[in-house]
Amino acid sequence: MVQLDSPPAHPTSTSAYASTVISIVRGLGWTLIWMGVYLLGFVAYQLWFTNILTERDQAELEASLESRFAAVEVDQVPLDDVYDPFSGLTFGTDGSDPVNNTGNEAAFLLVEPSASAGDAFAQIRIPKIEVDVTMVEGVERGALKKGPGHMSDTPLPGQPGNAVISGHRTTYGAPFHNLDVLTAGDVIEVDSAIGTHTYVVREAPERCRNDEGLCIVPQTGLWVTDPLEGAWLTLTTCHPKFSSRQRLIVFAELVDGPNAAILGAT
Amino acid sequence: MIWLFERLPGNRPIRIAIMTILILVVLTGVIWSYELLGDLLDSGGTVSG
Repeated sequence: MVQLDSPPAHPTSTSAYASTVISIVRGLGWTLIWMGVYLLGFVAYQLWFTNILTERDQAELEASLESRFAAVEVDQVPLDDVYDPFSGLTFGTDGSDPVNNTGNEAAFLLVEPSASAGDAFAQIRIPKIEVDVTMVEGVERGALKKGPGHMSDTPLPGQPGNAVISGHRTTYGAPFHNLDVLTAGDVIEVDSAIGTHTYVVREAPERCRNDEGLCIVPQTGLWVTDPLEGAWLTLTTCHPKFSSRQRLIVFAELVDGPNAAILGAT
Repeated sequence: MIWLFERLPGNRPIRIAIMTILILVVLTGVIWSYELLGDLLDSGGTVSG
């Protein structure tokens, strides 16, 4: 006859099994909680804290930009000595007096020395997307945390050729967050030591234009940094937002400024 | 954290010192991982070969 109130056949192993299951569930629960905390921290860090860091850096950069404008020596260089955007020349001065070797009327280009990596060198304003930030020299990780950076092996803004500027899209102040809103005809202004250069956004080239009229290239699309005839400003940022899979490129042409007339700006 | 603190060796000041170092190491690791993961969100927009 079976006793109804008899104990289980293996009481110890059953309770040990239950205890193990409870431990696993509890461990899993805590793991998920900490992963959630980690992810929340990540979002807060990227979308909030990095902006604070950049805001602080921008305040310092603004001050150092004023110092640069006051201290830097602007030179005049014969246009023929530097105007060869396809030669790979770096545009600058050797400190010598300008010499007019054109045989014609003086055709001098105003040039400024490059800033050190990570230092402020110019201010960029894009009224349509309410951008007004200080740019730094270089596109290294540390430099871009402070603001948009100038690719060092391209000419400075206001100089002949293709000046390339890169900037964050969603973090570190996100200066180029709304770059996709720019269309042909929009104005970009750059204040440098030699004056204010005004650029106008041009249509995206066919080779990179998508259905929305945006120039989208892979991260390896180095051709966008190639020298161009005339004076151009090329802005690059990540695309789509919250992904660094591709690059959004905006090309703008110099139309006004200290060197615009001499470069035949239209 | 309390669970860990109670299991650390040494007296109270030593435990506090160890906990402080552990927290700093963990935070450094977390922020470092945030930086690496952040590159997937936004690497600065540069083009390179």
